[in-house]
Amino acid sequence: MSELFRRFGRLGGGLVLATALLWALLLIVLPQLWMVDLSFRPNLPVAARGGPEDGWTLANYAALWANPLHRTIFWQTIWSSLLVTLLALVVCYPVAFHLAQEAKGTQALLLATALVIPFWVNEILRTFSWFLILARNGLVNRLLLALGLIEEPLALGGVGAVMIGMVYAYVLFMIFPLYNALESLDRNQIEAARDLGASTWRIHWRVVIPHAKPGIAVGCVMTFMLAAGTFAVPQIMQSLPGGTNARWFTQIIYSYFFDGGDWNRGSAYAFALLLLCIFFIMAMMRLFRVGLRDIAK
Amino acid sequence: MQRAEVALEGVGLAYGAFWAVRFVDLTVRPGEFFSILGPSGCGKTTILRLVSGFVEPSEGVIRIDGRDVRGVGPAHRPTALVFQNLAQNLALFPSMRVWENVAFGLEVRGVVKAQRRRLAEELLELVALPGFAEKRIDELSGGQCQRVAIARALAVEPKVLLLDEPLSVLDLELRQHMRAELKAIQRRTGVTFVYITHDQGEAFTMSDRVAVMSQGRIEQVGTPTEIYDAPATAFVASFVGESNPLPGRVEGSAGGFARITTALGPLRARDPRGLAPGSAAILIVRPERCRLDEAGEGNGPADRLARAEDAPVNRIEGRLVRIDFEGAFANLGRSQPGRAHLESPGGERRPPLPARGRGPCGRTLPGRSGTRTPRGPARP
Repeated sequence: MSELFRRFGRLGGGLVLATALLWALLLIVLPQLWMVDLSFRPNLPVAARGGPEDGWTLANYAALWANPLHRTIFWQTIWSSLLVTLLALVVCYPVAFHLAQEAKGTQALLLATALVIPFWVNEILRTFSWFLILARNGLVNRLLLALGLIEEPLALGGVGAVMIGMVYAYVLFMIFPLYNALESLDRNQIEAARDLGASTWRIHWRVVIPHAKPGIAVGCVMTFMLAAGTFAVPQIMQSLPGGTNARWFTQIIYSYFFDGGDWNRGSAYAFALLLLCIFFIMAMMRLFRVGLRDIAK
Repeated sequence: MQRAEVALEGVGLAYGAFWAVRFVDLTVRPGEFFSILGPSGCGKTTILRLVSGFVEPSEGVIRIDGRDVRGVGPAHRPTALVFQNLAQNLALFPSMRVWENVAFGLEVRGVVKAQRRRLAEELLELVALPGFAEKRIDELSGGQCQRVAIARALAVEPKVLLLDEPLSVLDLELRQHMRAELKAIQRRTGVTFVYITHDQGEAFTMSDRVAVMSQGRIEQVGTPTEIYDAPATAFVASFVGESNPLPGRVEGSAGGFARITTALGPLRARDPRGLAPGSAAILIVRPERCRLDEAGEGNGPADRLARAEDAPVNRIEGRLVRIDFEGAFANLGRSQPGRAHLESPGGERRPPLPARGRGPCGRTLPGRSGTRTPRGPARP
């Protein structure tokens, strides 16, 4: 902050700071506050707003609790996002460890490139590639048919398909924080543990994972937030045969805003999701005993 | 605790076409404090990694207690490694308490927690760190980390402890203290120590025997005094201690002494190998064997000392043109002929240094200090 003033002078620094604050206020704080306000008001025709029926109410939140379908989808979204996070961690940890500690020179470069290239393609297309793999006439069904393992194409849609799509869509957000954390681990520590007789499992459990905790926490928080807040992946994967049951809570929020025209209910649902996500971040930080400072790194 | 012999027989390790070490024959005796001394990049750490099992030799055999250990991983060799003092933490585990670090090897072996704790405290006692069990690694000083690392390695009751320049980052005073401490720990435990260093002071003060390495080869193995007083090769002579190398040609040899013609004229020197007349040789003079005299007849204090020790006296005349005072030594620049830079000893017995450029001065080299070594690197 003082660096900013030193470099641009009092006026220049003040302008830069004011711009940033204005940006945050206009585009982040005010809309959020407005949404929170909306979520506590009834959905009224324009003419009735500010009238006798208008006022603070918990009805929108109560509606989420009262609607068994929405409640189920809400918990299912949270649960699936947790599973997606866990899956992504399981998939990414060995890759990140290999990349950070074992791969050398060209091999490391090739591996990193192979990981990054799919991310030059946008999320919709990346998800769509999984759609094609799992479709009725997709790769998996054709392979199984060709091998004579099945008679009829399988309906591969569902929550599982959505989760696969998400794990694929978000691996990088898990790998890079993990890689960063693992890369800073002194190789000698691994060798010291090995020299003292520790098994691979114990080396990871006692030496590598404790060191990588901040990276694991960051990766999990990012993946979970992306998974819980995604709209595109479930939207695409639902079109698979058998996929209609895999509804995501974000889709309900979307439909209240843009199909139902009930912004108040939509806001309440969105805010409920946000609260739960914040709770998740806190829980992860507590679980891995990391502070906000570590996460910000 | 047990002790073991470590033997390397014709060991070599190649990375592609490059031999990191080759033709290494060494036997470290049970219970010995053995140092491998050499400049950085000479392959000494490679030897440690070979013995500990992190790399397998491309050729040759490594035996620990007579048993060929090829194919036995580091976890299953009776060795424990104390890592280089990189970034001060010696590969200690920062997420664990001091006692957990020390007891990690026991945890691996399934020792129950109460016993682990007790053994860890015993070991901390041994390395003079009582009461440090609950401390975190980042609360320790460099020397304390050092001791924890040694305790951690000793916890698995190794027969051989391998130490890779563990003192290199410590400051001078602490380093000297830790030398004594390490030697004491070695005596108390009786474990065979193999100690890697580029610091001859460390190697000489602690070791029973020293191997000097250069460019992946062993140059000489011997006690510190053997290495210092009778270097086997020109490399050992120049790497170990200060020295004045004087290349020349052997004129003749008799009674364990040789006459050798150098740029400073004919000199007499010890000739332990009985070199043939006419062969090229390098005469090595240790600076502490040089005495500074006034020019003139051979009756100065250095001459009297040399006569008392009944050794031939080499005397070089010259004009002093430069003095670089270094504490224990002074580098004296000398005018014609040859402009060789000889070093004069400091310390108690040193004569007062003459002022620069003040008259001619003579320098006597008692012959027993000269050691002739064959020119060029000798290979077994």
